[in-house]
Amino acid sequence: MMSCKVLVVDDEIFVCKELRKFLEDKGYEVLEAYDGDQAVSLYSQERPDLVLLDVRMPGKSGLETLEELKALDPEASVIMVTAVRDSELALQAMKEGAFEYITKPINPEYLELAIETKLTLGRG
Amino acid sequence: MSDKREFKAFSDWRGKFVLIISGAAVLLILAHLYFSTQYMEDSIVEQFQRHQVTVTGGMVKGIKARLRNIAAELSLQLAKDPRILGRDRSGYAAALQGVYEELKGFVHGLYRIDTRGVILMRYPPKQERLGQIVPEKALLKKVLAAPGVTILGPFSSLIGEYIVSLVAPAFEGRAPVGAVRAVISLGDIAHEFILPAKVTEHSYAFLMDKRGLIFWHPRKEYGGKTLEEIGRGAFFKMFPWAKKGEAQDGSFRYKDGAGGGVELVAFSSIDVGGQGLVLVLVTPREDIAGPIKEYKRRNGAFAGLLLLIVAFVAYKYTDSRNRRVLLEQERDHFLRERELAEEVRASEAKSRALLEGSPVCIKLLDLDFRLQFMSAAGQEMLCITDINPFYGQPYPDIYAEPHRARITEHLERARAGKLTSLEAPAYDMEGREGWYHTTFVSVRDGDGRVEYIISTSVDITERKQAEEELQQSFEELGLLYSAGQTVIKGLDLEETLGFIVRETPAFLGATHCYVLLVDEDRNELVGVAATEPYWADFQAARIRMDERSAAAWVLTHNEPLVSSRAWEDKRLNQRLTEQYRVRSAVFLPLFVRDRHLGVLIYAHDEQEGAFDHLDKETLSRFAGQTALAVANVKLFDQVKATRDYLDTLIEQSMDAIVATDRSGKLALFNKGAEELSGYRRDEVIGRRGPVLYARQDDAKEVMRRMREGDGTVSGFETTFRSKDGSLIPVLISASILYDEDGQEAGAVGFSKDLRVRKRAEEALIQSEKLAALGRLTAGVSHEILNPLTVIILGLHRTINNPDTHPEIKSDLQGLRDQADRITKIVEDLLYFARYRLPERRSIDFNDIIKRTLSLLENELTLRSIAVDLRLAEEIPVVSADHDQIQQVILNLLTNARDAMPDGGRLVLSTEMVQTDGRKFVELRVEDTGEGIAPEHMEQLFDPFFTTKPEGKGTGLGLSICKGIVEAHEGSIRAENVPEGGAVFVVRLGVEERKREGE
Repeated sequence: MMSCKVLVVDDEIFVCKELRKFLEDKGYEVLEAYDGDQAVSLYSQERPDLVLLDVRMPGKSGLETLEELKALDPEASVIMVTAVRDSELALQAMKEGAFEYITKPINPEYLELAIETKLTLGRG
Repeated sequence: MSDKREFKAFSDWRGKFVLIISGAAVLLILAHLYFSTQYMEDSIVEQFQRHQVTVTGGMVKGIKARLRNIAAELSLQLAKDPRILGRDRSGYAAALQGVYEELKGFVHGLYRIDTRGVILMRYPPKQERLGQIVPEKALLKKVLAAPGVTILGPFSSLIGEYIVSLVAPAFEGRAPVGAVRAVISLGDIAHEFILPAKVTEHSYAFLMDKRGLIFWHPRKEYGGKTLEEIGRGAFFKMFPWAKKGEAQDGSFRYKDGAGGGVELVAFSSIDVGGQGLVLVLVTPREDIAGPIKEYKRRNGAFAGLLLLIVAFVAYKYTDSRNRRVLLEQERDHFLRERELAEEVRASEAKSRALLEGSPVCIKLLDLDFRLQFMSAAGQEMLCITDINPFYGQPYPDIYAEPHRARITEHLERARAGKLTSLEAPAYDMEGREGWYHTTFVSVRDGDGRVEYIISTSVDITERKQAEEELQQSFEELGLLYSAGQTVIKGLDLEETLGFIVRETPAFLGATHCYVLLVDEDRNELVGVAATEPYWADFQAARIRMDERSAAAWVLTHNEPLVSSRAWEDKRLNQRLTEQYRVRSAVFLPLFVRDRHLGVLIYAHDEQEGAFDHLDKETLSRFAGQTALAVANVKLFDQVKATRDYLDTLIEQSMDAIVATDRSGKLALFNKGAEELSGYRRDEVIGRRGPVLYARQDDAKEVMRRMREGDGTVSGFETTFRSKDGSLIPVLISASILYDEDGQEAGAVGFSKDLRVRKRAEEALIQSEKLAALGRLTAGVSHEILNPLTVIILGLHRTINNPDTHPEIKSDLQGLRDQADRITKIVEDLLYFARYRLPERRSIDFNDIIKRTLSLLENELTLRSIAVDLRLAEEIPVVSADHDQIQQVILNLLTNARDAMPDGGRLVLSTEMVQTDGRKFVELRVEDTGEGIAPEHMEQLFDPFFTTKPEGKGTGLGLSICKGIVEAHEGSIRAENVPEGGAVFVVRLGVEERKREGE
C-alpha cells in the first residue's frame, strides 16, 4: 500500500519533530511546515492526505490557514490541534471543514485512532 | 188690641230678624277685618322669615364652597411649582408671582412667611409689609403642623380690610420651614355671594362676629355716620342676638321703637377657619309693611263697603219702624198689618237687592249647610248663570273634593257659634280654579239659638298666585343651593356625577339627565354619567366638538339651549336625539373661569316643551353651581394625586432620607432609613442630634463642609450604626435648608447603603483577580502544553518501540501516567482561572446541548458510545452564561464517557418541570456505566473528590458544575438508575417570557 502523506503544521519545531517521529513509526510519510504560508504552499505542491494544523501560530492563524487550504482543495482532510479547549473556535473550525479537533497535549492513542478513521473511512 | 198685639209680635219678630242680621253682619265684618288682617300679617311675616332662612343658608354654603374652592386651587398651584417650597431664594419671587397670577381675582396677596409669622416676601410686592407679623400668628403653630391648606380668619389688622387667609405650610422634609399665605378679602366674597342674594328689594346682609363686631357691611353709612367714621370694627349693639345667632340659625322679629314696625332679622353662622362669624340678613320693615299695608287697604275698603250696606239696611229698618208707629196710632191693624207686611217685604227685597248688589260673595246657609242664598257677586265669581238649582244643595260641594272635609269642619265650628275663616280653592262653572278667603259666622235668634250661617268670600286667586310664584322662586333658590352643597360635599367625581344624574332631574322637571365632560386631548365630549336606565346606552357616547350637535353648540356659545320639540329641532343632531330618547331638552354648558368642563343635558322622554317655563338666569345659575362642583372635585382629585405622588416618591426612595428641623430635631425618616438603620420612625422622630452616625465627628464634619461650602455636601463616606449595633458604610449627600432670611431652617440628607456597592466591588475585584490569573495561566499553559505534547509523544513512541527493554517500558509507562496527570491539572486550572460571575443572556438550552455534543460526538462514536438525544420541543429561553453552561454540559458528558470505558448508551434529555410555582428546564445526562457507589454519593460534588484512577481526574469537574449551576440559582443532583448507571440532573430557572422571535 502506498504510504499516506501527513502534513504537520506547528510553529514549535520540537512538536513537529516529535509528531514526525510518531507518525513515521506508524508508517506515514511526514511533511513539516512552521507557519500557515508554508503549509499552504507545501499542500499545493504535495497534496498530502491529512493535515495536522495547530491553531495558535504567529502570522497566519490556524483558522485562516484552514480557509486557504479548503479553498485550494475542498476535499482536504484537516485535524485542528489546539492548546486550549476552546469550544467556539473548535466549532468554527468544524464549520470551515476541519474533520476533527484535538487538544494539546496530544493524546497519542486518540490521535492514532482519529487518523486511521479518517484515512480509512474518509478516502475509502 | 189683640190685632195690634199680633201685629206687634209680628213686627217685633221681623224687627228682631233685621236687627240680628244687621248686628251679625257688622260683627262679621269687623271680625273678618280683624282676623284676616292679623292672619295675613302673620302669614306674610312667616313667609318672609322662611325665605330669609333659606337665603342665609344658601349664602353661607356659597361662601364656604368658594373658600374651599380657592383653598383647593391654592394647594394645586403650590404643588405645581416646587420652587415655592424650595431653598433657592432667587426663585421665590417668580414662584410667588406665578401662583399669584393663577389665583388672580381670588387672592389679594400672596405671602411667604416664616414659622414665626414674620412676612418675608409678598406678591404683589409691598415693601412696608416685610418684617411685619401676620395677625394669625397665634394660630400658626397648629397650621404648620398640618399639611395642606388651612383656612384662617378673618382678621383685620394688616390690610385695613377684613381678610381670610389660607395658609399652606412649606416643608423641607418633615420640618415646616415657613408657610405660603394667601389673603382673600372677605369683602370680595361678600360682594359675590351676599350682595346678589336678596329676599326683598331693600333687604341687605352683613357679617359680624359673636361679640357683635361688624366685619363686613354693604351700607356705606349707618345711623348717620359713615362706616369709616364709626370704624368698621364698631360693635353693632342693636343686636344682642349675636351669640344666639352663632349658636343656631334662625329668623327673629325685631321691633324697633322708632318705626314701630316689624323688621326681620335672620342669622346663620359661618365657621370660617375656627373664627365663628354670623351672617345677618335684615329685611327692613318697609318691604314687609308694603304687602301688609296693601292687604289692609283692600280689606279696609271691603269692610267699609259692607258697613255701608249694613248702615243702609239699618236705616231702612228704622224708617219702617217709624211707619209702624204711625200705623199703630191709626189702629187699623189689619190694614197696617198688611201694609207693614208689604213694607217689610219690600224692605227685605231691598236689603236682598242690596246684598245682591254687593261686590262680595255673601251666602246664607241653613243649619244643614245647604245654600239658601248667594249674592250676585258670588254667582258672577263662580260663573253661575242660574242659581236656583244650587239653592238647597250642600254648600261644601262647591269646593273641590279635597277641601270639602275642611269646609265642613269650619261650618261645624260656625254652627257651634264660633267665628272661623279659611283659604281654599274652588272651581268655577267653567272649571277654572280660584282661591277664596271665606269667613263663616252664625246668626242667632232672640233666644240665642243659631238659626243661620252667613258666609262671605273674597277672591284671593291673584294674591295666591303671586305668593306661589314667590314661593317657587324661593324653593328653586333653596334647591339650587342644596344641590350645589350636596355636590360640593362629595369630593369623589363618580359620586358627584351620580348625585347629579340621580337627584337633579326632578328639580327641573326632567325624566333623565346626561353628563358629558370635555376630553381636551381628543377634542370631544365623552359621556360620563346618565340617569338610570339610560346609562347603559349612553356610556359609549362620544361627541366631537366640531360635530353638529347642540352639546357642542352650548359649549362654544356658553349659553343654555332649550329645545321644546327636539325631534324637529334643526339645532339638534337628530341621530343623537333619537338614540338618547329626547323629546324636549335643555342643554347647559358647564363653565368655570373660561374653561370648558362639559355639558349637562336634561331631557324629557315624553313631554314636549317640558323646560319652556325655565328662565335663562335660573338655568345659568344652576349650571354654574354644578360646574363649580365638578371643577372642585376634579381639582381635589389632582391635588390628591400630586401629593400622593410626592409622598410615594420620598417613601419609595431606595435611599435613606432623613431631615432635621431648625432645632436639629429629626423630622423626617423615610422607609429607606428604617430599612437601613433598623429603627422605626416613631423611635427617632423628634430626637435631637445625629442619631445614625457611628462617629459624632463625622456628623460635625458634614455640617462644617456644608456651611463652609454652598450649603451642600455630596458623596461623603461615613459609617452609620444601626439599631442592633452593626456598622453600615454609607455615602451621604446632604443640604442645609435655608429660610427666606437666609437662616438655617434644617437639613436633609440622602444616604446610600454602601454595603451593596462594596459587595459588588469586592466581587468585581475578585473576578478581576481571577481574570488576571486566567490570562497568566492561559499563557503559561500554552507554553506547558507544547513541551507536554513532546514528552507524551516521545514516551508513547519509546514505550511502543519493540526494541525497548520491558523494564524500561514499565518505568516509562509510569512517567506517561504522570504526564497525563499534568494534562488534567492544567485543564482544570485553566477552567478555574477562567471562572467569573455568570454573564447572563437569553440562551437556547437545546441548542447548547447540541453544540456541546458535537464537540464530543466523534470521540463518543470511536468509543462505541451510542447517543440517545431526547430534547423537549418547546423549551423556554433560559437566562444564563453560555460558556459556563456549556462547561457544565461538557463536564457531565465527559464524566458519562469516562463511566463507560467499554462503550454503552448515553441518554441526553430535556423537559420543562414545575415545582413550588417556579418553572425549570431540566437536563438529564444518563449513562449505562456502573453507577455511583452509595458511600460516594454525598461527596460527589466536593472539590478534589474523585473515583477515577490517579492521573485520570482532578476531582474538580463536578465541583465546578455545582458552582456554576448554583451561581445560576439552579440545582444539580446525581442518582443511580435502577437499570444500572447514573443520571445527573440539572435544573435551571426559566425566564418569565416567551422565546425570542415569538
